[in-house]
Amino acid sequence: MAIPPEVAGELNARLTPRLFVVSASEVTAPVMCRHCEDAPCANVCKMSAISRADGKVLVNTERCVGCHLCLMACPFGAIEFAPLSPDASPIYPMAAKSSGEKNKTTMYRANKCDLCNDRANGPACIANCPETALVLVNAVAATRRRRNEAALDLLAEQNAVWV
Amino acid sequence: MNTGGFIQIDQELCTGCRHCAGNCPVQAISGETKNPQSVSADRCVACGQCVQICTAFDSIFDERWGRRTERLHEREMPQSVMEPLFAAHDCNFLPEIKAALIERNLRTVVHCDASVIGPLAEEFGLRTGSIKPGQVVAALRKLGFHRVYSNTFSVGIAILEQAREIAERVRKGGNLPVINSSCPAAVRFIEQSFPELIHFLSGCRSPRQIAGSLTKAYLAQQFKTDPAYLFNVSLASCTAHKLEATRSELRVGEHRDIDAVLTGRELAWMLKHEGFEPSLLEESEFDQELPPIDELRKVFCHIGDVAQAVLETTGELLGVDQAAIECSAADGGGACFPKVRIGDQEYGAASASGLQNAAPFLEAVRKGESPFHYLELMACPQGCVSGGGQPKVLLPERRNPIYATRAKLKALAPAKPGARLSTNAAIRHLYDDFFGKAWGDKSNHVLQTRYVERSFEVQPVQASSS
Repeated sequence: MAIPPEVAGELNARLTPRLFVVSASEVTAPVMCRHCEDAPCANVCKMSAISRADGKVLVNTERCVGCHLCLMACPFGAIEFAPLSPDASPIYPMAAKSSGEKNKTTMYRANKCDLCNDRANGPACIANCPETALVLVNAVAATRRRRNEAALDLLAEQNAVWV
Repeated sequence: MNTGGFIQIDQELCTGCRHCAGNCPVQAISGETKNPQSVSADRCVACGQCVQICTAFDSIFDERWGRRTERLHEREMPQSVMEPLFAAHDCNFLPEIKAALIERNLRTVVHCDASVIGPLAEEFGLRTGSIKPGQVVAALRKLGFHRVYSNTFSVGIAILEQAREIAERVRKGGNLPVINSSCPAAVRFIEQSFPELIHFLSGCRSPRQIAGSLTKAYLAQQFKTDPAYLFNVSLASCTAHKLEATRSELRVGEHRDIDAVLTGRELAWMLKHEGFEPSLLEESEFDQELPPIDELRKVFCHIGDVAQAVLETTGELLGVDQAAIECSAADGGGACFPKVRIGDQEYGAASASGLQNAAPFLEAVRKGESPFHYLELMACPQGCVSGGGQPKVLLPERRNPIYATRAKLKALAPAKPGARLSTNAAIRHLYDDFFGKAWGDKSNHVLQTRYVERSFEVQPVQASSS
C-alpha cells in the first residue's frame, strides 16, 4: 500500500477531489457518492468499469473509456471526470495506435469517492473534518439507534402525560 | 480587500471557514463566516500559520480558461508547480532571485537555516531528514549561488550578544528579563501588542539579519567588492522573515542587508522546476568565511534550546567553569523553563512556543512580576520546524506527528552540548580583527538594531476608504 502524500509539495499530480463542497446561502455541505445498492452509474456503464463490492461502488479506471454516461446517470452529481495525465496536459489517445491519429488531447476518466479504499483507518474526510460533521453510516447500527431513540421518546411522552 | 502584506488570502478561493482567523495570534484576519476573509497588513506579523492550515484550494474541476496558469503567474510561482493553490498564501521573492542568479555582475550569497534542511526531503516524497545538509549545499550551488553559508555562525553570534546583554543588565541593574529578539514574528508581536516592553527586547538583530549584515559589511570587505554587488538571499523556514527583511533600519549601508528571502517550499519549487533532485547530488561543503557551528544546528528547532544556549553562554562570560553549570529543563504546557546555576545565583528562563502561549509571560513582565532573566519566544507552534515557510502538511491529523518528527531529527542534534561560544576561534577572530572590540561602535552598527512602537489605532485602512 502506497503511503499517501503528507505535504503539499509531495503531490506529483494535480489533486482530484472526490467530494464537492456546495455552498449556498442557507447550507454548506459536501456532496459525494452514496454508494447506492442498485447504483445507476454501474447499471449504465457499457464497459462494466463500475462495480459494487463490500458496500463500496468502485470505478476500475483501467476499463473506463471516459464516455461520461455515469456522470449523467448519477442523481447526486457525485462523479467527476479527472484528467488521465498527472498535470492535465494533452496526451495521445489509446486509439492513436490503430487509427494513426496524431492529435494529443486531454483525456479524462471517471473519478469518484471510493470511501478511501486504500486507507487503513477509513475515509480521510471523516478523520479530518474540523467540525466533525461527517460520519460513516452503518445501516444496521443506524436503524438500531433510531429505534432506541424512538423508544426513549415514547417513554418520555408517557411520563409527561402521567406525572 | 487585501492590503499589500506578505500574507494574502485569495478572494476567489476562500470559503470563509475562518479556521485561519481562529488560529491567528493577532486577530489580523477579518470577514464574515462563509465569505472571503482578508488580512490586515498592519496587524499581521506574517508568522504564516494561516498559510499552513488553510484548506481551501483551486479545484481542478472548477478550472476554466486556464485560471490556474494565471493564478500561478499572479503568485509568481513556477508553472511547473503541481500542488494545489490554497487561498491563504505568502508572497515570494522568486523573480528577484531568478534575475539575480543570471545577472553576471552580481555575486549571489545564500545563508541556509538549519531548520529548512530536514523538512526539505518531505517536498520530494522522501523521509524527513533524508536529504543531507551537504546535498542542500550542492543543490544551491547548482542553482547558481556563488557562496553558500550555514547561518549557525550567525546564530552563535546572536546567542553570544544576548548572553552579553544579560550579563550587562544584571551587572548594571537594567531591564530584566532580556527578551529574545531572534523570532521576527514575536518581535513584531511585541511592538504591536506590548509596545511598552520594547526596551526589554534584546538589542541584537535576529541571526538571519546578522548573516545579512555580516555579508554586506564583513564579506564585502573580504571579497574586496562593493556591497551593492552582493545579492544576499536568506533561505529560511519563516514567512515573518520576509517582513523583517524589508524593515528600513536593517541595513549597514545604503541597501537592504537581506535582498531576498527564500523559504524551504520555494526552494523545492525552484529545484523541481530545474529538474534537480537534491537526494541524488554529491555532497558539498558550506563555505568557510562564516564557518558553521554544528552544535547550534538544533537551536530553534526545539523549544528551550535557545534559552539553554544563551544561559550557558552567560555562565561562560561570567567566568564560571562549564562543569559548574547545571542545565535543567522542565516541560510545562506549551512552555519550558531552563535554569542555570552560575556561582551562587540561579538564572532562569522561560521558553514559549506559539504567540498565544507567549502572551501570559509578557503580561507578567508588564506587571513587573516576571521572575526570569531571559524569555525565549517563538511565534510558531513548535518552533522553526513548524514555520510558515516549511512544507505544508495536508491533513490536520498528521500535523503534530510530522512536526515532532522534524524536531527530533538526529541530524539536527548536537554531537555534544555546549558550543563554548565565548572561546570559539572564528567568532573571536571576527570580533578581534574585524570589529576591533566587542560592543564598540562598529559591532553595534552591524549587530544591533532598534524597535518601533506600533499601535493599531493608526491603521484602519477600510475605515478611511469608506
